[in-house]
Amino acid sequence: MNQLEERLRTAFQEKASRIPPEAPPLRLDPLRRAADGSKASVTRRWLAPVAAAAAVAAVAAAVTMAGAAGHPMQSADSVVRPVPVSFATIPSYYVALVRLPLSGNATEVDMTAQVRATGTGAVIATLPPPRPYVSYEGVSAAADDRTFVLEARGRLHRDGAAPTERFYLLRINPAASLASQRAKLTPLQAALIPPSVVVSDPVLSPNGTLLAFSTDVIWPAADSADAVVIDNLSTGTRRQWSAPTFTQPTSWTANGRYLALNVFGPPQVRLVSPDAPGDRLIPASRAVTVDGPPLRAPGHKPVPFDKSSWDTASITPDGRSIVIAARAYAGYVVRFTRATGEEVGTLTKLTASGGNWQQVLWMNETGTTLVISENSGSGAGILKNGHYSPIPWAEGTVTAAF
Amino acid sequence: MEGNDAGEAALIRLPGAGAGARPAAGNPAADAVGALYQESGASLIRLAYVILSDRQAAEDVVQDAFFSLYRRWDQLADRDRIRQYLRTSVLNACRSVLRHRKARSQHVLYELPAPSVEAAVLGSEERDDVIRAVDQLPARMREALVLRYYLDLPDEEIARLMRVRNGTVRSTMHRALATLSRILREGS
Repeated sequence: MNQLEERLRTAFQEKASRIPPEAPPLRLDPLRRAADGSKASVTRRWLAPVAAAAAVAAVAAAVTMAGAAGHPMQSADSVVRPVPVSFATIPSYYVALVRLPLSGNATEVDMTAQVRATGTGAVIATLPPPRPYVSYEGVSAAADDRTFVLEARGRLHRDGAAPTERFYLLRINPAASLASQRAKLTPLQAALIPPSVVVSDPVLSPNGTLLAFSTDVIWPAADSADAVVIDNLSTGTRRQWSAPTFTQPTSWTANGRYLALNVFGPPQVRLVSPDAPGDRLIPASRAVTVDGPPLRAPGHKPVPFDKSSWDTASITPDGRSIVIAARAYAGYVVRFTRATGEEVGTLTKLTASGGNWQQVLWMNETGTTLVISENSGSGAGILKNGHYSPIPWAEGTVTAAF
Repeated sequence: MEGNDAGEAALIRLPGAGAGARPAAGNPAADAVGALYQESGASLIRLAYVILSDRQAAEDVVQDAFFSLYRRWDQLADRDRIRQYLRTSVLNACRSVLRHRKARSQHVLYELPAPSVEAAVLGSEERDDVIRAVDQLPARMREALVLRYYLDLPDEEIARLMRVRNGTVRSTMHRALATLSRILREGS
């Protein structure tokens, strides 16, 4: 065994020893599991939203399907036209992905989608995954408060093969008097996912015409062939660049001219234009330097500001700044100027327990007003002028798009 | 797996029971699953924690694995393989958590331990560096490293758990170590 392997073994053992030898009490009563909200388990997290969904069954919309899922079809609805772009106010509606109950012999947690009102948390529509899909894996929003893209996934295979996946366009009409007209799902022709490819991180451009996502064929093959893809949903054309493993699209500028990506390896934020030539991401894109002082919290040693201390880095819609949600033992959201890479402000410092991470779900034009989710999706709120205001949030929400 | 006093095994604590515990009288499935949990719950939480770096999520996936086992208890054909089932169930759930995190553009977080004199003496900083570097790896590489260097499993068993070929395990391991080495070198 070489030195690195020995260090790994020691590090894993030391890390495991931080968990006490006595396990917390086992909970086998589903109702009591649901009622115990102090430390929601994966299973408990789905019970509450299911109960909530039942309570609002009267307003749950039947989803209008434009064509059979899994069968490509030409439809006027599947051609996406640009929508009006606005980052002036926090969207009135968002789409949340919510855990479903474990069924049968399943050990994977599946998710359904709900359209909710931001101000009240009311469920406007519930959208079960269209057959043959059983779960949603990702969601992203355009900047018109009405247009979304959902990534639907089929059953996971026991042999580890990639599950079938497909993107759907979701348009909402919250004012419709008929529940069945409040949400419409359309399979996207222009963003077909080839078999054996796993996609992640769908990010819709503000005007709804460009869909970026990462692809990964490492599962089950070992040789990674990761890529970043931008599909033009209006023209049906596709750009694709091979990328380092785990490269993640995160956000677009308002004009759709730049896509921001987090690149694994030496921590980097990179920007790529949909028109960038070539087929390799690194030469086709350019790096944005972000650097900050070590993150400090009372009673802890400073954490260097590197990739292991921050999660997603997003570009502001005006393209001038990079906003980073930092992790470690306290949550930070830090804004940097894109031009110099210098920190221009720590927007928040939330003390979180357990998960200690947060997502930036929405930003205004300049990145000075944000909607962020906190600590393993347990809540969300508006962050403005250093003040955090929680918004209604349902337990069991994994992620959301505004 | 860590053993426990068999007398404790029949006790299943239910939420709302406070610090006390009460026996799940007349429920053989609950008794059996409770005994298994007493025996292996903590070690499975440790396994999940090493992969997820999130104690709450680790406890959640283990709770769910046992709850799933409890619900299926009467249909289980091969109870000799229950421990294997539990470990697979926990690993699947960890994979699912990591995948959902990836879908949310989240990397696995790393909770820094509170500094202590003892930890400093034992070189915890270096171990922190290693763990941070591991947390930057793609989920499949991380899982392979944990199965090999935390659980000491052979390639064949890792391949079975990860549902890949033996050769895939070896190449994944090779790539993971090479990448890890590069990250550590660049960080130093």
